[in-house]
Amino acid sequence: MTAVLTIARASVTEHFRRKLILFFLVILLLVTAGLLYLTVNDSLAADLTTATIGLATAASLGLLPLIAALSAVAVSMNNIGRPFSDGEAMLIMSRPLTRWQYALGRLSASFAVIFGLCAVSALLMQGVRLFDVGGLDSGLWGHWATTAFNLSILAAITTLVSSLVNAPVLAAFISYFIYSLSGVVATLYLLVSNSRVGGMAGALITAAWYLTPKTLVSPLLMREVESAGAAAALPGSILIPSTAGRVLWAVAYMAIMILLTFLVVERKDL
Amino acid sequence: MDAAVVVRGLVKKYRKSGRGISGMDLDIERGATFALLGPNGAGKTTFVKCLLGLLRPNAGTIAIFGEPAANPSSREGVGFVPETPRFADFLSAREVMRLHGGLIGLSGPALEDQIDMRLEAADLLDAPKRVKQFSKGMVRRLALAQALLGSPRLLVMDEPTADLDPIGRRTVRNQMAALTEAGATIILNSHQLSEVERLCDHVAIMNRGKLLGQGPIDELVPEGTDLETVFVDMVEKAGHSP
Repeated sequence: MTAVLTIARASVTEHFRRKLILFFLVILLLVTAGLLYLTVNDSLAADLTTATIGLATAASLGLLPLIAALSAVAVSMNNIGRPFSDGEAMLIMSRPLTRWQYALGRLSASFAVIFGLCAVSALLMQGVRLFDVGGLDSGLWGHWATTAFNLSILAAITTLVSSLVNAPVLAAFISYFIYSLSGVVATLYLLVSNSRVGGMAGALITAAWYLTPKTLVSPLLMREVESAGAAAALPGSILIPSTAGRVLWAVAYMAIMILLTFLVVERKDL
Repeated sequence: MDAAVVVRGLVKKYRKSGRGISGMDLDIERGATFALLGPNGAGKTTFVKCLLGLLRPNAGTIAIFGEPAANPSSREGVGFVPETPRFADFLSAREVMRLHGGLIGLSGPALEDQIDMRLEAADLLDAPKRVKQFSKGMVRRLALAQALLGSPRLLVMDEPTADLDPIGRRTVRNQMAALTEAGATIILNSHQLSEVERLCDHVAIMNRGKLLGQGPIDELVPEGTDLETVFVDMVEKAGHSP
């Protein structure tokens, strides 16, 4: 455990030094400042959002998760491939630690950064909410908690891909593509489960459904969608209706990604 | 013989080039200063990587102080200076030392004291803030400093004096001598035969993945000749092709 924490600590320091975290924090602060400006100028805010959704909710469901997703990829794309190919991992692996401890340490650093950024986002959005309507929204906490969890899945995918592909940018691109496929595949699989698509196409879609990540549905999103009477817009929650089932799927998917990473790293020569 | 390293039937073939090590048996005595010599591509670095668990051999066994090299715990008390050391660019020398100290179980004031001592010996106390601003020589000195953390009982060095100025080379020699005096075993990969003659008491010569000869340096090098002559003769007889 000490070895994992030591690797994680050094990796978090590295992320801070690369100014990745700072970059995303600056963007978050700019977005928050923009939202506060819109709050003061009520007429502008009304033009940009509906009266019911609110600025903090709109930002939490729209722009900010995208920024957070980019940060998750950015802090994970260098986890395995680059240090193994440029020799940085060689000196570390000559120490008494296993390959899986190294991979877990790198991944833990990504998780720590993601949860930290999501916590800051949640606090800032609650601040906007407080300023905007004079009260907090419990849905925002749940939203950012599920976002952090979903982005941990993305970090796990990126780490696995980075153990297979040495070029960090390529690893980032592939991982984000796989992650963003989940919504599309869920929509297609809904057609298969309704027996509207079958044969070879159905089999391919079914395979893709099992291979793509099952992310958690944000309670904030669920609330907004249900209040708009458009629950069909969330195929993931229709296909796996129970919250426990979705959590189980998501945890299992992340666990499989991490185990596959361990297997690949174990067989990687330095 | 009390062995620090025992190698039996070691085979490592690279899939692409087909080169590597083909059947190596080797014993390195505890407390020896052992040099592994050979032309480029002889398999010296491959051997070091197999020894440290960085490469998985196709066959054979390696034991470090009686423990299989495949076990990470065999690397407790082992320091390594690679041929081309790489560190996380954005860390400082002290942070690199903390990382490596943490991985060998050092912490708190004991670790900080060791870091101060090793960085001072490596003349890196006033080094630039980030490793990415280091010169090649400074990176090499940092590699040696981290390898000496925890006073290892086995130090493995791959071309440790390359890129070093004469003062840096002398520092390395002095630190090697201090370690040998403390009873540590040193394995040295080097092309600098005069340095090997000066520093080492045992030597092995490799070519094309095979050991051509090994033993105490004074037995391997007859009187009236030198290590370079013996090395060149052995490698040419074995049919070296670059």
